[in-house]
Amino acid sequence: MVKKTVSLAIIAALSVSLLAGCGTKKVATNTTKKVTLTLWEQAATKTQVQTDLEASFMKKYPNIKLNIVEQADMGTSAYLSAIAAGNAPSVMGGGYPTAMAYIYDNAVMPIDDYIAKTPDFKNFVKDQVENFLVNGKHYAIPTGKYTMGFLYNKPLFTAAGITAVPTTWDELEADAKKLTIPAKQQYGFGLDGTQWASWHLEQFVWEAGGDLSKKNADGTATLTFDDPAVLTAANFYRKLKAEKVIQSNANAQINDLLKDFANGKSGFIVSGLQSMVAVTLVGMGMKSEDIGFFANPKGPSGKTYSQIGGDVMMVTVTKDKAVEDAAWTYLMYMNSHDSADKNLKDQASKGPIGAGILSRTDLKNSDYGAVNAELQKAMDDSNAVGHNEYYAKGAVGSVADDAVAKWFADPSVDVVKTMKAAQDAANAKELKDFNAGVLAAKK
Amino acid sequence: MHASNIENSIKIKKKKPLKIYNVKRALIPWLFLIPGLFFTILLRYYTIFQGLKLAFYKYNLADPPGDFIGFKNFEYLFKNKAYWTAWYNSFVFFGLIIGLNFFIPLIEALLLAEIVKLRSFFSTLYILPAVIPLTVNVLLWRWIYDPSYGIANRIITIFGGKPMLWLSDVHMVKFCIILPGVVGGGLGVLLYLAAILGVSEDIKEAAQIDGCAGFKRLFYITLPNIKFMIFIQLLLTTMGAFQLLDLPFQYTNGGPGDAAQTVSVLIYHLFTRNFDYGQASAASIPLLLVICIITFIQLRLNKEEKV
Repeated sequence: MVKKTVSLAIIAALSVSLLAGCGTKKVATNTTKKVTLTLWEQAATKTQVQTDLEASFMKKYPNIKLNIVEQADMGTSAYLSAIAAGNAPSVMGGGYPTAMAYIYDNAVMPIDDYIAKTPDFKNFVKDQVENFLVNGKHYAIPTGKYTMGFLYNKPLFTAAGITAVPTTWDELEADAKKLTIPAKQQYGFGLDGTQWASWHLEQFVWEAGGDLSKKNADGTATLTFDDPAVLTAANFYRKLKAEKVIQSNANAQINDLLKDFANGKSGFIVSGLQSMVAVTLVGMGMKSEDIGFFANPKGPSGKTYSQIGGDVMMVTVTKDKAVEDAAWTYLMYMNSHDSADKNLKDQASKGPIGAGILSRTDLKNSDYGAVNAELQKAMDDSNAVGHNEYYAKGAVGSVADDAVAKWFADPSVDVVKTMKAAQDAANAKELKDFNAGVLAAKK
Repeated sequence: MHASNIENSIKIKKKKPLKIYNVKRALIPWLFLIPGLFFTILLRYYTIFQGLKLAFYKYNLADPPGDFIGFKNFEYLFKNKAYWTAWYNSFVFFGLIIGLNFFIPLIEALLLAEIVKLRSFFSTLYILPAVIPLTVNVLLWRWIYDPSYGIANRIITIFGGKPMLWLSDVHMVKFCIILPGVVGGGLGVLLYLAAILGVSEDIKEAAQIDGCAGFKRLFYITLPNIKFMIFIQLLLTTMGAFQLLDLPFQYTNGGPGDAAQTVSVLIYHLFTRNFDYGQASAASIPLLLVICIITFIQLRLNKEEKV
C-alpha cells in the first residue's frame, strides 16, 4: 500500500513537473524566444532621440533584436516588392493613401487582437484610429493627423495687393488671376490634376455639393463618379486652366508644384496642413516666415470641407507570430506617452514646435512651447469641417486619378463620359473586389 | 599471337588519350557555357514563366501567388479602354520611331559617306548625344520644351509664332518625345556609316566602270550591300519601339492624361502604382506575342528575299 502510494505520489509529482515544464516552455516561447525585427531607416533623417529609444527598447526587451537597414527607397513599390521577396521591414509607416494601399494589398495585418490586450491604446485619438478601419478591422497606430488646406506665399500676396486670404471659389479664382504674371513666369495656383488627381479633386466635389462614392447600409460602396458636382468641379478646373492662372506644365506632379511654390513661381497650392510641410519647403529654399496657411474656401454649395488623414505605423504581414508580437511591442513602445514626449521635447529644442493635431490624448502641443498660430488656426478650421476620403478610395483611387488626369490634360475630352467609363471599369473589378471583401468580412 | 596482342595494346593505348582528349574537348565549352546558361534560365526564362503563371492569379502578397482566376485578368484588361489606348499609343510611337529614328539616321549616314573632308568631325558630332546619359538628355529637353521658360517657345516667339505647350499638349507629346532622337543622330548613324564604308571598293569601282552612279549606285550597290545592317536595325527598332518605356516615362510619366502611355508604361503603372501583379503580367503577354509575331514576319520576309 505504502509502495503504491509512493508510486502514485512519484507519478503525480512527475506529471505535475511535466505539465509545469510544458507550461514553462509555452510561456518561454512567447516571452524569451529570440526575435529579430527588420527596420527600414534613413540615417539622414534619424534623430538622436530615435536612436536612444531603440537602444532603451532593446535593453527592456533583450529577446528582440533590431536589425536596422539603411534604405534609400522607402516608397510603396519598394515595400511591396520587399514583401514579395521576403525581406520586408517588420513595421511600416505611411500617410493615409499609402496606408490604405497597404491595407487593400494585404501587406499589413489587422491589429484588433493586440488592441484588445493593450490598455495604453485607449490613449490614442479615437477618430484617428477609426480612420483606418477597413472591413470592420483596424490596421494602424496613428502617429499624427493632417487636414487639407492651402499654403500661400506671403510676399507674392502682398506684391499682388491681396490683403485677405480667399474664402470662396470666386475669390480663389480672382486671387489666382492677380498672382499670375507671365513675364515673371509666375502663376497663381499650383493645382494637381495629374498625380493623385482625385485626392485634390474630392474636396472641390464636396464643396460643389456631391461626392465620388457613397457608403451603402451594408458597408458596400456605390461609385458616383458621374455626380453633377464632379462636372461642376471639373468646369472650375478647366476655367482656371483656360484663364492660364494654373501651371502651364500639364505633367507637373506634386513635387514639381511644391518646388515651384518654394521658388516663388506660384502663389498658392493645395497641401496637407502640417508643420512638416513647412519644414520641407524650407529645405527647398523658402523662408519659413514667407509661408502662409488658409483653410479651403467655400464652393458653390456654400460649404467647405477638408479631407482629413493621418500618418500611421503598421505591422507587416508575416507567417511568424513571434515577429508580429515583437513588432507590435516595438510600435507601442515607440509611440508610448514617454517616447512621444521625448520626441516632442527634442523638436521643441530645435525651434518652435509649429502646430499639429497629436495622436495621443495625453499630450498637448502647447506644452512644448510656442505654436504657429496661423497654421494652428488653419488646421483647427479645417478639422472642424473634416471629411474622410471618398468611400472605397483605397480600392478605386487609381482608376479615378487616371480619369481626372485625362480630362484635366485635354479640354476636348468629355468629363461625364470619361468619369462614367472609369466608373464602369472600376465597377467591373476594383469595386467588385472591395464589396466582396466587405461582405465576406461580415460573414 | 603475341605480336597481335602487343598491337592491340598499342591501339588501346593510342585510343585512350584520344578519347579523354575528345571528352575534354567536348566538355570544356559546356563548362564555360553552363554558368551563362544557368543565369539566363534563372533570370530570363524563369521570370518569363513566373510572369505567365501570375497572369492567371489574383496576386496576394500575404499568401502568394493568391487565387487562381483563369482568364479574368485578361478579360478585365480587354474590356478596359485604357489598355487599348496604350496599344494605340504604342503603334503611334512605333510609326514615329520607324519614320523618324529609323530612316533619318540611314539618310544621314548615306550623306556622311559621300563627304571625305570633316567626316570624322561629323561622325564624332553624331556619336556625342549617344554618350550623354538618357536622363540628362531628357532633363535638357524637358527644359527646352517647358511652356513657361523653355527655349523652344523663346525661339518661336522671336519669329512671331505663338508659344506652344509641347509636352503638355496631348496631340504633340508623342512627337516631342521622339524628336530628340532624330536631332542627335546617335549610334544608328555610325552603324550605318560603318556598313556603307565596309562595302568593297572593288564592287564600287566595277559599278562605276559600268556607269552605275548617283541614285543608281545607291539603290543597286550601296543599299543591297548594307541590307544586313538595315535589317538588324529594323528588328532592334521594332522591338525597342513596342517595349518603349524609358522615354515616355521620363518625359511625362505617360501623360498628359494617358496621351503617351505605351503598353510598357501601362504595365509599369499596374506593377508599381496599382500593385496588381496579376494584371500587369497579363498585360505583358499580348505585348510579347505581338513583338514575336512582327519579328517572325520580318525574319520570314528577309528569308524569302534571300531565296
